[in-house]
Formats: sequence, C-alpha cells, structure tokens
Amino acid sequence: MRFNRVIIASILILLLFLVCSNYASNEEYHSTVNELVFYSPDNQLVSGIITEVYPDGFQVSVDDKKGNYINYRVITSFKVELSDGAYVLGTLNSPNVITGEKIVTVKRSEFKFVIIRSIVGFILFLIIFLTYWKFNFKTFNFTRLKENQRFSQPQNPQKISDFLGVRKMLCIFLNFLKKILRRK
Amino acid sequence: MPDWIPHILIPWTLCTVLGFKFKQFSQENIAVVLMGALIPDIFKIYLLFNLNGIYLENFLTPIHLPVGSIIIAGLISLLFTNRKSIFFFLILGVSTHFLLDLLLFNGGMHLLYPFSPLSLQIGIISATDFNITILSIIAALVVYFIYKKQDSN
Repeated sequence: MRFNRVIIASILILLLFLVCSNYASNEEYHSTVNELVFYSPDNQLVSGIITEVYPDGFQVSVDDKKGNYINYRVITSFKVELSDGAYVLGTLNSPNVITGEKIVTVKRSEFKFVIIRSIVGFILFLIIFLTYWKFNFKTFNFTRLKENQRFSQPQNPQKISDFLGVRKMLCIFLNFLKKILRRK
Repeated sequence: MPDWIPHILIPWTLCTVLGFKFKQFSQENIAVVLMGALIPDIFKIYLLFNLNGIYLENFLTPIHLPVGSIIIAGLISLLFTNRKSIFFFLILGVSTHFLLDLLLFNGGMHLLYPFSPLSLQIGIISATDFNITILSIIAALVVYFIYKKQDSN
C-alpha cells in the first residue's frame, strides 16, 4: 500500500515538473490580454512599482520574473504616488510607452496589511484543520480526530457515488422495476 | 482573492450551508475543502526563493493554475485513507479559490493551460481589497451562529 503511494506520488511529481517546465519554456506564448472582458488584442497589461511620476503620467518598473526590471512609461491623467504598486491596462504605443486605459494602484502599506490578513487566515485554517485531523507518522497519513455529532459520517468509508445520490437513485429505480414486475 | 481570510471563510460558509442538507459536508470534510482552497497559493513559495536570488515565479506558476493544483491535490490525497472523496473535497476547495481569483484585476490567469493560452479574469476588485474580507467575515459569523444553534437543538 505504502509502496503504491510512493509510485503514484513519484509519477505525480514528475508530471508536475513537466507541466512547470513546459509553462516556463513557453512563457512568451501566453496571452496577457484578459479575454473575459473582451479587451482589444493590442492591449498590454503590466504590473509593477511606480518609480517616477510625470505631469502626464508615470514610470512603472515591471519585474520580468527573472530578476530583471523593465521600465514602462504610462501616459495617463490618473493621479499616482511614488513607490505604489500599479496594474496598468493600456495600448502599447512604442516598445515601452503605454497609453493607460484602466489603472489600479495599490499602496505599499496595503500590501503589508494583505500579508498580515493572510497570516491570520492561515492560522484560522490550521485551527479548523487540526481540530478535526491529525497526522499519524507511523502510517504516514492524516486520521480523523473526532466525529462531528450533527454532521457525523457513516461508519463505512464515504463514497462519491453516495454523495451524488447515485446509490439512492438506483434503489428507487430498482424498487420501481420490482413494482412493475409484480403487477405483471 | 486579496488575502487568505476570504479564501478560507467563503468555502467554509458555503460548505457549512451545504452541510445543513448533505451530511457529507461534515466539518472534517470542510476542513479538507479549506486545505484545497489554499493549494493554488502554494506557488507563492517563489517569494522565499526570490529573497535568495532564485527566480522561480514562471516555473511555479502552473501550481496557481487548475492543471498544477489538481496534481498537488492528487499528491495531498495520498496522505489520506479515503483518497477519492478527499480528492473530491480538495478539488472543491481549489475551485472556490479560482472562482474568487477570477474577480481580481491583476494580470489574468491561464485557467485553460495547457489547452489554451487565454488569460482570464473579470477584473472587478483590486488585489488588496478589504471589503470582500469584511463581507466574508460577516457571512461566516452569520452561518456560524445558525450552525451552532442547529447543533445545540
């Protein structure tokens, strides 16, 4: 059983590695245009830190996810502040100049607050999860700690078919067939 | 979604409401759904690598896509005895994460990767939005009190 798990886990890890490698090597083919709200194909979406503010716009420094930064000049009347984060959707005029159409800015302090909220969320998750589950190092799996009184599970392992009501529907169907056969 | 509070509380609220009708949504299984809801954000470990000058954001991005999250859910379900149903509840959690992230405006997600390069997002809330966090807390509190009341009857 444990050996099977190791084999399945190895296959899944290999699969994940292949997917990640494929994604990273084909990065340039991934569209950056939001297709759900039907932006024009000429639109460019960039996000980064505001490094310069001009009367007719600002400069945003975009991390290329490889440790390098590319500067984009954004032309807009939208008021921004230095060192804020910015998401800019606009039309690319020349290689590094964008006319902003939709701009959302985020203050640095707000980012820190998001991190604090996320830590609180994670602690909340740990409290809920560890109330009901514990890790058994001997069997190397999670085991249920206690059964909830109201929403307790059946003693037998739960099956997905039960959840979808397949078994219940089959019973109803069989009873219906029996009734028909009896009548005949 | 902006932070992990709505990512935890919204699936908890929805699953607890479903638990009033379906016994399969027990609090133990809801805890598994919550674990699933955090799976896509495992990719954020790239931030730790960034601190050491190793840039893995592109490489780890598929974890924040359905294809990678499903594989991770499969890996995690191996740590449970009742794997099929645990996998189902993990996927349910993963789905809630993507549904909530669809609301953001932060560059889109290649949800259909590797089948399509389309980047999808509705873009109606900012990445640091606090209103959705407050709403999720209020909804969770309301459901929690109803749950407690039903539990005591």
